Formats: sequence, C-alpha cells, structure tokens
Amino acid sequence: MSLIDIAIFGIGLYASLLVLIAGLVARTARWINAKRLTGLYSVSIPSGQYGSSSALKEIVKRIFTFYTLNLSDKPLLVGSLMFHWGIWIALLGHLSMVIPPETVGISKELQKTLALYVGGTSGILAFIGLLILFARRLGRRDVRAISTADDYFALLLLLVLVGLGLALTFVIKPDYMSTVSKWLRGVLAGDLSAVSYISVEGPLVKLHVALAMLFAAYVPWGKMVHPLGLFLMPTVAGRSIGSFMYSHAANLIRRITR
Amino acid sequence: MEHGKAELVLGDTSHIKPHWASPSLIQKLHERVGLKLPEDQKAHFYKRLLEEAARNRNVAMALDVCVHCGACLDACHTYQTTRDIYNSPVGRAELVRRLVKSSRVSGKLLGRLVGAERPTDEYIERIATYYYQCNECRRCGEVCPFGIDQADLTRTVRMVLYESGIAAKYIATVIDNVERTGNNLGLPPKAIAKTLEFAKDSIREEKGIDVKVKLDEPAYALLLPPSADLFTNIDTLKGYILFLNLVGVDFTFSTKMIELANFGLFMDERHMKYIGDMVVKTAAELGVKVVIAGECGHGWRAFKNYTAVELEKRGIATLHIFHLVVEAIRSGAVKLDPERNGDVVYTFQDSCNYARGGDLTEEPRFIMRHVVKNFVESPNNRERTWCCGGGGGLLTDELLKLRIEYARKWYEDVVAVGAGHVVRACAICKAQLSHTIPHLNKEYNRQVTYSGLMDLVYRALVP
Repeated sequence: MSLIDIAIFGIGLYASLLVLIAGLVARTARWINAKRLTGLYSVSIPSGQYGSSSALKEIVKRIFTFYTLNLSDKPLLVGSLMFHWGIWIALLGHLSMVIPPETVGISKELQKTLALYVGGTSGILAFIGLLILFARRLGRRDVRAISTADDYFALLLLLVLVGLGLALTFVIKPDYMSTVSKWLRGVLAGDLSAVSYISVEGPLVKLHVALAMLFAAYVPWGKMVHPLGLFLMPTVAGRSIGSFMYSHAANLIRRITR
Repeated sequence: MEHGKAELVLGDTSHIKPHWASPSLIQKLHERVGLKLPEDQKAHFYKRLLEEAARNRNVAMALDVCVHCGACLDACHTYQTTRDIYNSPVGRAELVRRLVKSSRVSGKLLGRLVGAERPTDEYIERIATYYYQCNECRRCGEVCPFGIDQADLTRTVRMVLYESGIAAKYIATVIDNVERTGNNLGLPPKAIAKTLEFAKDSIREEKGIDVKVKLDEPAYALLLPPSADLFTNIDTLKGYILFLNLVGVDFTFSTKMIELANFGLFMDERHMKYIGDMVVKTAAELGVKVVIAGECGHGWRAFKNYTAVELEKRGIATLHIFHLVVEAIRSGAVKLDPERNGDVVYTFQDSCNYARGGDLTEEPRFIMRHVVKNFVESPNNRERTWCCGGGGGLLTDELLKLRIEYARKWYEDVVAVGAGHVVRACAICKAQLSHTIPHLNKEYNRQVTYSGLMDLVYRALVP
C-alpha cells in the first residue's frame, strides 16, 4: 500500500465525496436563494392540471421518457435514452459494492451473473448512447457551434469511464467484490487501512475508480448538475394558476339560464 | 442600408433590429413605474444583468442547467427560418452567458479564450438586437428536457435593457398609449362609441336582431377585448356582442380600459402589472361581478396569471369568453349552425400564450367542432403550436421581412393538412397573418384565409 494509493483511494475518496455533496448543496442553495422569478409559469403541465402532484408526475415522466426530445433529431432522443437508462442500471449494479447483495436476498453467484449480463448490457447501452451523442455533437454543425469545453469534457470523461467499465466487465474480470468493494466499504466506514484491498488491483481497475471519483467531484461544477435542475425549475416545478375559471363559466351560465 | 428595409441573409440576422425608443419616451415610461434613467447605461446594464443572473431563479437556472443539447434549435421557428445561431434560444442565452462569464475569475484572466465578453456598447446592442428578434413564444421551454424557458430570459434581458434606456419604439409606444388612454391604439372615447354603434348596426343588418351594448355603464360583467378588435377584427367584436346578448349576459365596455393586450409582458413586468391594475381599477369602479376576456393570446396569459388573480382577490370573477361559449353550448343556451361557415376546411392553430402558460387549448377545439363542418388539426397543435411570428412585440414594419420568414412554419402546417382557412384566436396572430398571408399565399400559390374564433361563432349563431 503506497502513499500514492493512500492519497488517491483514501484521502481522494473523502475529498471527492465532500466536493460532490458540498457542491450540490451549494448549487441548490444558490438556486433557492435566487428568489426573484420571472413570473407567469407553466410550460409543460397540460391544460387544466395544477398542483404539486401533477408537477411531480411531469418531472418523473421527463426523467424516464425524455418525451420532449421527440421534436428534435432522432440521435438526440435515441442517444439520450440509451445512455441514461444504461448508466442508471449500471449505477444501480454498482450499489452492490456498498450494500452487500446478500442483504437484499441476492446470492453471490446471482450477483456475479447479474453484473456480467445485466450490468454488461447496460454498460454497452450507455457506451453506444455516449458515442451517438458525441458523434451528434461533432457532426451537427449548429450543435457544435453551441458546444462548450464543459460539454466535451463531460462526454470524454464518461466515454473513458464507461469504456473502462466495459473492459473490466468483459475482459479483465477482476474479483472486485473482495478488492474494490472491501476498500470502499472500509474507507467509507473510516478505516484508511482498507486502501490495502484496492492497492493489489491492476492499473485499469484503479484508473476506473479514480476517474469515477474525479467525475463525482466534477458533477456540481458544470453541466452534469442538470438532473438536479428539473426539481427546482420554475416552469416545470412551479405553479400554474387559474383553474377557478371553469367553475365561474358554469356558474354564470347557470345563473343566466335559470 | 435604410433602417427597417434590411434584406434577410440566411445565417445572419445581426443587422435586423427594431426602431429604438427615444430617451424621452423611455423617461416618460420610467417615471410612471418609479424608475430613473441611469447615468452610465453600459455599467447599469452589466451590473443589473449580473444581479439577475445571481438572484433570478429563471436566469440562474437557465444558465446553469442547460446541457447544450440543441433540442431548442429544432423547436425554435426564429432559428429554423433564419439559421442564425444567435437568433435561437440557446444562442441568445450564450450571448448573456458570455457577459456573465466575464465577471468570473476565469473570464477575467482568460477573456475570450473561455468565451467571456466585456460589456461594450456594440455587445449590448448585439444582445438587444437578438433579444428583440425573439417572439417569446416559449416553444423552446416546451421541448427543453429541463423546461428552461428562454422566453423568461428574453423578458428579463429586455427588462434590464429597458431599465438601461433601451427598448423597441413600437412596444414602448403601445405601452404609453394604453397607460394614457386605456387602449393600445390610443382611441378616444368617441371613436370607441362609434365603433360599437357600427357593430350594432352591422349585427342588425346581418342577423336581424337588435343587440344591447353598454359603454361605461353599470353592468354585471365587463367585457375586455383587445382594442384591435375595435379596429381590424370587427367580426370578432360582433361575435362577443351577439353571443353575450343571446345568452343574456348584462355586460359593458369601458372607455377607461378597453384593452386585454398587455405589452408590459414584452418589456417590463412593472408595466405588465401597471396595465393589469388599470383593469382591476376599472372593474372595481364599475362595480362589475365578472370580467370576461376576449381573444388575445399574450393578453390572456398576463390576464389569467396576474390580473385575474388580483380581481379574484377583490371578489370579481374572471374568465375567458371561450369558457362561457363552451358552457353555453353544453347547456343548450345557444343555437349554432355550422352550415353557415360553409364547406371550407378549417384548422385551428393555438396561439402560443393560450397553449403555453394560458391553459386554454381544449375550449377552442370544442367550439370549433360546433361552429364548422370541416375541422382538421394542424400537425403542431396545442402545446407544440408554432408561433405566428408576430409575438413578443415584433409586429412592426421594419421587421416585416423577418416576420414573413418566421410565419413559414405555421403556414406550412396549414398547407400540410390541406386547410383553406386558419383560425387563430389572438389579436397579434391576426395582425401578423394579415401582413404575411398575402406574401406566403403568393409564394406557395394558395388562397389561405384566416380569422379569429368568435368570428366563426358569430356566423354560426342562430338568433
């Protein structure tokens, strides 16, 4: 267990998680503290539906279906769906590193099989999705014109991260449950000596983990903060007013025609 | 090049701008809402824009959350028809983002290398130019996966520009008119009375019935049309009058405030509220129990979301004339004969502000199905409707070439469904259509006609 390992996989892990959490809190606070609103809301909540439950339904629908993108080009919709669904399932699988699968009734063997087939498939989905999105960003002249360094950085980082994940899953097949998982659980529990579990791993595993930590620390500072945005966006999560008008019309006609 | 006659170049609309309001006009408007022209226009604009980027949630989130996916590029008719990236939702926001960037450490150190721009006079004019090419139609907000409404940004940027002394002359003039006279056109009470007399006579002649029209008299309801209905859309006006008479609503117009349109929405929220408050004051003075809004998209959005709320607080009920027509049809209070609107194929196209933020999409369709025989939906309907191209206060001659381009999208929808007549229940739409349809009909070799919805109700009503 070298000093570099302790720095990256010990201190580095704490630092990246701290930056992630503090950054997300700071972002959220910034948006909540921005109290001024350009008023007269409701973009997407269909006519006649009001209140917080319909707003929540709309947010969930947007997160899982990307339905608003169907007016744009196909690669955007297909790439976004593939990447996001792929990465969600893959991330769900990564939870097994922190929560022992046995605690939710999944045997070690089943976990391995799920990780290989379900995890592998979702990784492939995410990777192809990223490639589609990258090709679109480069290939569509107007999208290229509005692209920033942040857009490319996020795409490249994710491509390498997911690509490495795929190589590990299908080619290298490390015994991560007894190395990476033990390291993560140990260090998260405050035991820095658990770094020794990961220090025996090969360079590609270490690179995948290190890039994941870098990614976590990067999330709050650029475009990757976008998922959080939906929950506070005034136009979607905001309130529309005026439903009283339907009953007014009925009352007025009743009054006149009585 | 003569101002206002600018030729349209595909990919570059940076030279197309409205006539700007004079400092004296802006000063007059400023005084009305408690503002003062700043001594240093540039510094004020920069300072206030940074303030809004930090304190206004719509602006802060529009800049922070956008992932530059470009979905709004495909949704925006201003970009689709001109192909200038800055005449697009994300492109316009980029102009603002660059200015905000120049206040950050990276921007101060690296300048244009990281896309930062300093607030020079030229750059501010560039922002004003592109932000006055936006129709504020909110279609970008509808398709953005995060609901980023770039029209909110347009409204905020225009507000900061206005505070700094920059506004379109047309919008500023209209706001001044309505705040002085109670209507956008500046019509004196005598002219309003004459128009209403003309409408009464016309109804008698065409429908064989004497209708009652009150003006500035106590009544149960106040009817609030856009003033354009008194001038160019007389059939829409006759539709309101005949319908309300047939169902027996005791209503009045007011010369003090005969304007549903609210151009404050296009320039500064303070004026939007000022104009809305004029309605509230008029309704209270007349002692009416109900205020009925006429056909005007943006006016309806401002009314429904601001004025109506203020009226309801004071116990005055509010609704749109369509709500009332729907209920009258449902309850059998009126008789309609769709034959009277002939065999033409009609399509109804939602005005942006009815469909996006106005919650008024099904009522007009219900009415359409009862007043015409052949009704077809346009491909982009309800929340996905295309803007007419005249919204956001762009209805001026110097922007006509741009507006004709902007109009292609909805026009092509009309052509696609084989409709001969397009219904748009909005005064701005109707004014925009009157200017652009002749050009487009010629170009596409069609004979498309247009009208409001109450025009069709008027014809179909059986007294």
